[in-house]
Amino acid sequence: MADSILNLTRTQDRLMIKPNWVQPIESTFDFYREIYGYSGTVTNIFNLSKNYSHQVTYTFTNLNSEDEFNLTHFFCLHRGRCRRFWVPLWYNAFKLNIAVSAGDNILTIINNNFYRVDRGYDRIFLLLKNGDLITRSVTLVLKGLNNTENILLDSPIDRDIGLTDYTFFGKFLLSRFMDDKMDLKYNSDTGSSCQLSIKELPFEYIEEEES
Amino acid sequence: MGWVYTPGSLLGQTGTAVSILDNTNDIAGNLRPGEDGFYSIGAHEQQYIQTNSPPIGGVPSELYHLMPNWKYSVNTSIEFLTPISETRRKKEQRKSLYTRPKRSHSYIVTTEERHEFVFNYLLSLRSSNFYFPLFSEPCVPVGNDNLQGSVSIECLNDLQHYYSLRFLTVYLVIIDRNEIVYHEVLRLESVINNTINLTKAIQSEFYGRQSVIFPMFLSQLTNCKRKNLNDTVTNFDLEFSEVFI
Repeated sequence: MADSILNLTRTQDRLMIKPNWVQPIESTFDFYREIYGYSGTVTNIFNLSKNYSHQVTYTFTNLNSEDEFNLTHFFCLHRGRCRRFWVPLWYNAFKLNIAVSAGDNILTIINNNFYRVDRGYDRIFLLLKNGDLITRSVTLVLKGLNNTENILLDSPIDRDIGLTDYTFFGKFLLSRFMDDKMDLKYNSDTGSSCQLSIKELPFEYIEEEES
Repeated sequence: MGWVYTPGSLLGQTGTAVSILDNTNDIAGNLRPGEDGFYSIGAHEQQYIQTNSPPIGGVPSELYHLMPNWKYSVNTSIEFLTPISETRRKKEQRKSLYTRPKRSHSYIVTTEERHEFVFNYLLSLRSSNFYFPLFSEPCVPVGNDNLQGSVSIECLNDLQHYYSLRFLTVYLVIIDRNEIVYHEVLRLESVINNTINLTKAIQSEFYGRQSVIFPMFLSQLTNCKRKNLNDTVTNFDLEFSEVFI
């Protein structure tokens, strides 16, 4: 079968270049809060928003000029921090607990507290072993029985997926580059490496859906 | 032993072209490149100033060509300018001020014996813009034929995947590998597959794989750090930034 890319709305650009795991993938999140307090007194948290933003740093290794061109072209196309795109979190955030049948719009996964932080617009992706990419929007996450969670999807999955049929099952983020600058470090005239940080844009999922 | 050299002030507003205010003119004195014709060809005073549009085809021009020491890494940066307005609740508005990226290049040059010559050359570059070869995108012609009179040059490298060459380059330079001062500035018309098409034929003699072609961009020296490793061998840590005109 082919890719099944749904629920990405207007922005269709995807940064699917895989990072080099020799350098660890670093990720953090923006707290979106302020803490009020004086020295020696109690402190209060003022939440600026219910949202949170993933921030992740990938190291890309370009083994030839084609790899480098693809990365540079993507960066220039999005003008550094300016334009948004979709990017996968390149680690397995979820693990299927029950195999998926074609037509299912509920995925049962092993509980990893996703239901605590579900925002109602998260996107997930499944990269299958045959190379196909599946993206869907999550509308609701419910805690299930026996240490499971149920992810309710906006659109049903169009194929059967076994428990070992995928290489990555994780979050798909609407993001921008964190910096306007991209540094390529050449070790030869063809081989280079580059570290890029990416920031999720939680407020813009809604704009995407409305546009 | 280390020297840090900071060039004159750079005048320019965000997103605009930059001019150099030479506030230390007395340092340069009469030191100009090309005194013995080794590091620069025909860098006369008049040509030194007129670097915004290099003469094409066999005419001497101001050209920077201190080659990097590949023992150390060569770094290229691509930079955009995007001011972001953010509300207290972290909603963003972004606006891109550059329509094309600004490039910068940094690397280390190692010299033996002639370190003071190179240092003075770099010192003299502080108050001018000059064309800088992008060493990360070398184009080596196929075969060993004489390229004199050619307007199309087929290259061994994967030119379709050279970003600067394809999208950001106007001028090229062809250099003789054996005699690096022997060069000619070329103007790019197009890149089709692995062939470079020029607007005008090459006027001087250059022989295939003995030559190498680099894309160039107009740049300024933005940082120069000198390290004397011993009394003869010296490393220069150099940084160059593209100038928009």
